[in-house]
Amino acid sequence: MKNIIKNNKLRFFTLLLAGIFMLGTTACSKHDDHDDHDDHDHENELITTIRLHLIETGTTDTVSYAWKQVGGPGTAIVVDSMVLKQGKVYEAFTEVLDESKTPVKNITIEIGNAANFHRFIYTSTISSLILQVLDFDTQTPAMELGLKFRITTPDVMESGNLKCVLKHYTSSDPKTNGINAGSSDIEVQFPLFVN
Amino acid sequence: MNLGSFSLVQAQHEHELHIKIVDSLTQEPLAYASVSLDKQKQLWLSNEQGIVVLPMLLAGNYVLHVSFVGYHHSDLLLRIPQQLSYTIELCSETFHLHEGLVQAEANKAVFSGRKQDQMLSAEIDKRRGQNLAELLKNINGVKAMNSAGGIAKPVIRGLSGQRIVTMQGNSRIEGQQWGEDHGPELDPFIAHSVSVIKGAAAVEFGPEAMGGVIQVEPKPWRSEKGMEGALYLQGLSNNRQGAASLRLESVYGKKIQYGWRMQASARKAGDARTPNYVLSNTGFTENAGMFQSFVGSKKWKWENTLSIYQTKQAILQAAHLGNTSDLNRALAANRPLIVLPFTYQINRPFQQVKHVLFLSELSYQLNASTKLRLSYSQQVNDRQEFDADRVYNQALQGRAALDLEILSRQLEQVMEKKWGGHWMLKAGLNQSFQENITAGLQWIIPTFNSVNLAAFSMLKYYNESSSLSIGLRYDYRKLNVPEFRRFGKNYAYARDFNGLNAGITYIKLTQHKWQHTLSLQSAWRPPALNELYSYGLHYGLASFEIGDSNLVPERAWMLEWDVKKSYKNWQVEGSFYAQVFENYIYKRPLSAPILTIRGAFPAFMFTQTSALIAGVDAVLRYKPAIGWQWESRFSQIYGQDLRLQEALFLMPANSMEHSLAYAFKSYKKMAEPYAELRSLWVARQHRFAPNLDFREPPAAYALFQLNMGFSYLVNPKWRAWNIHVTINNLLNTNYRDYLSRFRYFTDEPGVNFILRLHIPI
Repeated sequence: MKNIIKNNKLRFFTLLLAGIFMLGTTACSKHDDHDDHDDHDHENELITTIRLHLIETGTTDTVSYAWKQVGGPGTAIVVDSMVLKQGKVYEAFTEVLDESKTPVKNITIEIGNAANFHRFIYTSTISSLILQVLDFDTQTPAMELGLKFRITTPDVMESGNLKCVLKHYTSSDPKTNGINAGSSDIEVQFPLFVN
Repeated sequence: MNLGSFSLVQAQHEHELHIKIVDSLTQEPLAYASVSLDKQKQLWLSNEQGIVVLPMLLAGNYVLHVSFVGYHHSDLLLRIPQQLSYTIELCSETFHLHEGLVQAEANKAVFSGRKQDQMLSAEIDKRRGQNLAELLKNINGVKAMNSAGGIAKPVIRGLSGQRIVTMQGNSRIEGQQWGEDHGPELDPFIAHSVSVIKGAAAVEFGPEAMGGVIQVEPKPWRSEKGMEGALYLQGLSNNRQGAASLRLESVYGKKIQYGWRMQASARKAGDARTPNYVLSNTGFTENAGMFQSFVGSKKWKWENTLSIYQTKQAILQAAHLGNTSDLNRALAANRPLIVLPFTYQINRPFQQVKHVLFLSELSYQLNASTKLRLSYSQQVNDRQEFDADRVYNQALQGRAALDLEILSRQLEQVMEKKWGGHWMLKAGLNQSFQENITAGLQWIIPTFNSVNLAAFSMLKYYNESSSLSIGLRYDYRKLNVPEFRRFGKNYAYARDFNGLNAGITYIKLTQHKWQHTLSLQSAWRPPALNELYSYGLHYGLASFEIGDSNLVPERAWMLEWDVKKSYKNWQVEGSFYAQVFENYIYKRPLSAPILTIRGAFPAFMFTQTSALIAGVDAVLRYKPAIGWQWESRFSQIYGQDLRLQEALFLMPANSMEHSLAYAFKSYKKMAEPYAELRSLWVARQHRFAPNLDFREPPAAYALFQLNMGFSYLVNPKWRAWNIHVTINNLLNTNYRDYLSRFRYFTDEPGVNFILRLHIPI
């Protein structure tokens, strides 16, 4: 130990080591900016509801059908059965919400804002039911968006379901890649009856 | 020639010792190698025939030190007068095909008493630049679990993740080890030796070491004062990867020494390529820096290490999916659904990890037989995972899906005592503290904190032909999960765990030079955070994972028998092992998918069962003629769920490796040139439970590898440069590996030309 005190170089070195020790113990402390996430309700992104608003052409009657899973993945799902009249045409508007938050978050607006990267695809097990998307995005050439669509029911009684899929695209996997591209952000089914 | 000597009078008890020193591969004698005995201050040099004669030695045991520039140092136990003539083979530092000489192995048994398989610097040099798991594959019984790109996790006899401990020096690396796509956060360039520790010696490392301990050790400090270093440069063709690392070290002083070392590494890679298409979004970057310094004398030493590791790793885009429909479509396709031109750009989805480690160690030689070591380590592991853009809420844009920060602190006090020439005791206390903060958009594991207190001890008896080690460790762990809110409900947890780890290892070197090792171990581990509290989508595989908060700790009993024998130019090693687990934790698929607004997802729940893992690892080496070496390795594992009577998931398939190497004669400035052709044969894993997986295991495959290299004396005043060329997947074979997480979507990478340059400074 005496040698360290005598020898200047050695003394410098030991101080250097002590300095690094101090630096080391403080350098590795956790970031403070994470602290404010502990206390409040975690802002987890969640889509809980998809609601279809149908207006029979030529009238002002609006019917709404919702698919809801408010508790999050794996919890109870409440689905409304769609009951439509034979031989009619309906204009439909799709609404996407997060009803687990107060106030309710409207995600439809965000989808509309990123129209070039989203697409609703509607299909039905009832082959005679005609589905047509009415709105488009802003790219050239414009491609379907699907927040607004038309349902034309057949002239006979039928039963089956309506499947709504919301696809999400990225710049490396764009809409132009076709109907099977992208990944599904929503995939739900409504029971559908034509009376 | 003798550099000064003194003589003792008692002539009738004096013996003359004959030593011959040769190169281990060419058997050429080494002239002017230095030879010394530990009990005496004399130094001898061998003559042109590599012979040294040590006269006038009293009967007894001596340790002989042999060294020669450019070769690994050798220590040998001499028993006078039982054996008076020795041939010592030294291994060249620049070319080291085998993992160690049997003679040297015997010494390892005596002096370290550990059951370990080791890779030394020269062997690592040839494979440097790969991540840790790839490096370890060269040790028999170790495989790598890949996620295409740069991530690979080591798998030791079917066990990985939370059942293996990875150490950097004397520090346990603490990160999010539970993730199948979370590789160990370590710069492979700092590795001077890599060891896999099993048996009684692994007991010292704590509960999660039931599969073994991987210890990566940096270079030991220079013994004499002066400066040295190394520059490593590498290029890899498959993903157009370049890497460089610079290490500088300087030691000063004589009686009291002090020194510093710094190492900085950088690596950049683009997309990998299979023989038929580019694996889009598999590039990565890695940067690391390490600074070490020490001050000390023969009696004490204080060493500080600060290391920083950072990586940004792109995740194969085609593997990040929506729901079951998307997954089924990807499984039905023969190639990834998204294939774009080659790029270095890292896009979403990607992982970003930063790991800072600080270690301070003080060792003190209390007296000739006792040594104390105190250490403190602190590390922060910051991991973020960004998904393919899915966020609707503009305010949340740019936030990571997974954002975990874990801070770990550890204090350790260890005492080592040697006495009677045959006994060694190691005892210590360990206190560890951990805090994890969860902040991502996607919830997988909660914020938690934990305290772990432990006491361990290891007792070893050894003599020149055998050693017996007994290890014992007791751990008490307290886990606390403070209240958190998820989908409108509140949860809070507090758990206590405690248990005993024990191991006994017996090593015996018989008359006919057979080395047997028998090891019995009982180990436990508490359930990991994700096994207890997971609840969410695991993007990597479009699956929903659900933890079980009622899981209890696992316990395993292991029995292993190893045998090694050298005979003339043959060497055989066999390892037979069996592990029985109680409460083995694993993921089981639920019969019905989980329904969410996104659609259906296959759901997995963590659960426990009884399991058995047993297997054989064997190695055979043969030197048909001078300069040639043939090596064959076999590996077979049997894993069974004992309760359900079905195969365990993800057990490595049976494999064998064959290689042929030749060491050429040095030519002018080119020293120690060599060439090696290796082949790997992996069978199809035909033992699998049909409903536990998305797809059946892939077909069997064979891969070839060519290694070549030499030392080049650029300038006689400088140390020689080492050049290695490796061609992986020589025949550009299409294949998929069962242990790869991306086997559902793509083939593995194709041919890879690798050039490695090591320039000593």
